[in-house]
Amino acid sequence: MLKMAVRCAVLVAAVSTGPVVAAADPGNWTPPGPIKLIIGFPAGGGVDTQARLIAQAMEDRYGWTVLPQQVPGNGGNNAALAVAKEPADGTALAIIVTETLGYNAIVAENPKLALENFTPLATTARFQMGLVARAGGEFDSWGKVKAASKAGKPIRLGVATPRIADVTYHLGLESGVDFNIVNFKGGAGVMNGINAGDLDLGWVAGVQSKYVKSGEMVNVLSGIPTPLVDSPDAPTLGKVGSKFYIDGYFVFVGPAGMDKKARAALAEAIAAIAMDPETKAGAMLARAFGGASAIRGDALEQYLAKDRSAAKKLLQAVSR
Amino acid sequence: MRMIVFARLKSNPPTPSVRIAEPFGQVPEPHPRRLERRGQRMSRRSGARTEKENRDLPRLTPDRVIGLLAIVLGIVAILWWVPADAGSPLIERVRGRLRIGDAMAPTVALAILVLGGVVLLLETRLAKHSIRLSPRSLIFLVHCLIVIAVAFALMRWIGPIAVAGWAAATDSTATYRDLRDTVPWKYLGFLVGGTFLVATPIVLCERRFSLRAVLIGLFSAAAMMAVYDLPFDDLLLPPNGDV
Amino acid sequence: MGVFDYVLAGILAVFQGPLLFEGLGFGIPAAPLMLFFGFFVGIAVGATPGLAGPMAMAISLPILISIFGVRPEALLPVFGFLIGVMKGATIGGAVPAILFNISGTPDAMMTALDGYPLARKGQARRALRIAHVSSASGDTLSDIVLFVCAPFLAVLVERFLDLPEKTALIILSLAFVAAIMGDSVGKGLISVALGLLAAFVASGEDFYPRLTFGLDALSGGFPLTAVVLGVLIVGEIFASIEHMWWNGPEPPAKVEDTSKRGGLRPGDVRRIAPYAFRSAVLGTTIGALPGVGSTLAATLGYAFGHQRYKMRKAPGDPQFGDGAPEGIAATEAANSAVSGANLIPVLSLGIPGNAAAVFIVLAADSIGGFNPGPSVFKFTSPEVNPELVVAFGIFTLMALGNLLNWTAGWYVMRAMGIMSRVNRHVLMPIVLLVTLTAIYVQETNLGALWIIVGFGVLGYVFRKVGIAVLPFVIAYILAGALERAARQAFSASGADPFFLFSSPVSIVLIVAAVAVVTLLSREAKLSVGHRHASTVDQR
Repeated sequence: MLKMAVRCAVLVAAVSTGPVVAAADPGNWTPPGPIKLIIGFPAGGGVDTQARLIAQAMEDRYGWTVLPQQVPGNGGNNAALAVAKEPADGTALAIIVTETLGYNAIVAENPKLALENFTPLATTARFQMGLVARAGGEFDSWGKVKAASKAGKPIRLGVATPRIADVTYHLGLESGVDFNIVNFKGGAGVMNGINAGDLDLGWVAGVQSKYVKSGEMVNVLSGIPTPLVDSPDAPTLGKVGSKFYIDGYFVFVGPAGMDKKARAALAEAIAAIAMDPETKAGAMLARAFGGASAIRGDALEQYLAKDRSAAKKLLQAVSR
Repeated sequence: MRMIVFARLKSNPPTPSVRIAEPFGQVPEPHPRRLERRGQRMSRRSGARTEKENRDLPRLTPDRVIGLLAIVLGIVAILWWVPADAGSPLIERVRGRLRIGDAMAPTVALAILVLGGVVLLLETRLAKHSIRLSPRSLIFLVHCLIVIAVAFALMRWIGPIAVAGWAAATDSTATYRDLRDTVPWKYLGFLVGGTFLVATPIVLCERRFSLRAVLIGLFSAAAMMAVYDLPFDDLLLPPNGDV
Repeated sequence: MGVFDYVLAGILAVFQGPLLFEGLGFGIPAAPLMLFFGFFVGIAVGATPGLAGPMAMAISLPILISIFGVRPEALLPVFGFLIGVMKGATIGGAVPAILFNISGTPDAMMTALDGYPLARKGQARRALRIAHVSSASGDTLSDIVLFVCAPFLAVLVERFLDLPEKTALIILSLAFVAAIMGDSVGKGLISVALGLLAAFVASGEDFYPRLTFGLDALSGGFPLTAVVLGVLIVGEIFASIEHMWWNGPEPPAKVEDTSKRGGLRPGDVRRIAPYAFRSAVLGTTIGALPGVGSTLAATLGYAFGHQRYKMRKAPGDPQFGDGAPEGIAATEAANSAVSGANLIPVLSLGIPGNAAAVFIVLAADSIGGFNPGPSVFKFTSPEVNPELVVAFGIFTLMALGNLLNWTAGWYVMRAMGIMSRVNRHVLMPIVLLVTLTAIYVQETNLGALWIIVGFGVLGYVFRKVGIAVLPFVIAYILAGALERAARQAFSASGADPFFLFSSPVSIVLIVAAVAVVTLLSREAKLSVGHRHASTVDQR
């Protein structure tokens, strides 16, 4: 009973922002050879920068050799498939997003992307997913959005992934707002669309931070279950009628059946670096995502399982 | 205007002694002496040809084959390949709205392929000449691919074989994967494979084996290693990304 | 920020950008330095028969990205190098043509028509000087036109073209490129179709890897660099080596005239000025059209110049083809004027019309932070549009390149005669190794090398059967934009199946596309004594 309560507490703590527990030391595990870090997104982007900074910090702090390789495409699926084939002795890991092993894996209908084929290591930061609009425009609050929809105005909303599109569609159904959902390439693409006037609203996961801080843009809604760091007053998706969130983290995973010591050591190393604002990686995460968030171990496995079943429910609710 | 230009050019052609690299859009200029010889050969072989014979080319010139292939393959692909290998049909209903599906774009591309084939066939009706292909091109291509395949195989396996041999000799359990970032091992495969890749065509073009060719190959591979590996920490030479 | 603020910002970005190294108390900005290196490399490459400017751009791009990274600060240094190569290669091509009657590129072959006879008469230096002056002036004129027209065109496009029109514009560009390049419209269309198809592999909407036959190796699609370098460079290498495979290595160049005495004669500049100017205007106009390149410009420049010369020449002057300086001027000015104007379609519309523009797009795509197209020329205020600053940085680099052309260009040109001695059968395998290594460093698996070899085979086959390769590459690059624009236009129009015909502008564009394809094929290029007629004995 007590164990259950503790587990619940840990779970609750795990799915809220902020560090879980102070990171422990990776111990005296050394990798048997150079570590292959597979990066699931294109070079130069937020994920890639973060991954390379963490790799560099690992080399500096622990003396390991980390060799990054880019395997982009398909929302992280390609990287996941690549890492699943690697040996499980701690010399291979990949950085993807939780969405890859949740919604994307289900839609891709590829059995190789089953959760059992991976060993989750650690998350680094949560998406600060917000529905962004121009400040002072006609859509800069949820009330205005609803009013515009009632008045029959077309509302163009930009999304970067199919999951976000589905959640938006579901939100539209539940709240009675008719969105014209448009696909763009990445959060940066959506941001550009809003800037250029091609879009009225858009879901952006962190790139909007500097615009919101300067007052040019506002976060109309928060896509995650908790308020956004930049806009604590923006209502969450749950409050405006949606049963689903656009929650997610950047996450490191390894192939299935990873050596326990290796898994613990790698997870602790990633967590230590991510949550230390003195490192370049930690500083970048703090700046771009309002702080690091390193979920590991059982808590992480439970989060991923919950995320996948939520994705299944979302797909049923949207019933394509 | 064009006719004037080309008449002018024909009367004073330059005589390039090398094959000119075309700017990726055009077919290379024939060597004028070779054209003369070909004309002589043709008339020698078949006697003087009547004009009618010259106009009636054999029915299946390579151009016509390409046109027919384009049409047939395009239609087959539209009817069978695209529907079987695309995630969604031409138009689909998603999230309450109609949108263009995955099959539309390849179908349009294949339609353009078919159109191109048709236009090509129409053009060949008006043409008096066509390109001629020879089996020598295929032979050359196969040779090239063999050289490249061997070079890749060397790059991939020389390192692991050397490590296995050394490990057996010194009773260690290290594998290539463990050693792929340490100095002699990570360069071996690339050095051997790269030298082979450069030296072999030189040798085959010169029709004799020369130490100079091997040295050029060695030097090129070493230069690549110097440019990519020495200044940068994280760049991987073949085959270190694959193991 | 007004126009002049952006121009100034662009200039500053070039000179205050990342520093390459610091010494003597001040740093040396990377972008102008890379421009200089690129210029030097470009002239060397242009002067080497068997190499071409785009080849140097292709090989250097991965190395540049490794050096400068993929942050937006890398854009101007990398573009600086590529622009330098572009400008250098156009003047470099004249060197072997004049000195040895060997051309690095077909447009330089026209320069040889009058340049080589003039060199044979002992006036090699004069011929080189004329070529240099004409080339530099053609370049300058076309750059000025670029600076004025590109933003203008982009602003026009943004204001009047919505999604259906943008789709139609891409369709027209593809039709134009298919029809105009090479000998046959049908083959051009086949080339475009295959390029589109290659781009559509594994690029579906919802993670289903379409057109991959279920192969895991293809589930990431074909990397852009691998396809472009494979078809353009590796295919060219195969075709080049084949010639020497059967015929043996080429004999080294015979140095016809090494006399370096005697430069320009008095009155030379006045003689060639009208020819250079006319050719420059011609080259600029032609260069602004996607798909049409320096060879056509040089040919037409020669033709028009010849007509005028016949009417106006003095009795004692040599004919065109016997060493008339006006002949050199007419071709060199035209083929150099193409290079600046070639960037107009790519910067203002995002449509790459020639190989150099393809590499600019490739560089922008790899580095990120700059998407060539109308969105670049949005003069936003008060927020700064960083892409516009980069665009004006590019213009600044081109102007600097012009300056280099006029000054250092002459000295480097003179020194490059030696490059013709390089053996092609040695050079080609080395270029192959460099290209393959560069791709591996980026993609880190041997599968990517096989992809590039595969596309190299495709490029070789295209060259053998007379299918132009550049439409394939341009279609490959534009395919994603085309599908995206069409999808968005379809959705935005409320699923109207005739969305391409929804406005007068889009109807005009579609009709023009159809017209281009039908009218140009009726010209029956295969039957007229076209210089590139398919009587080529493809041995």
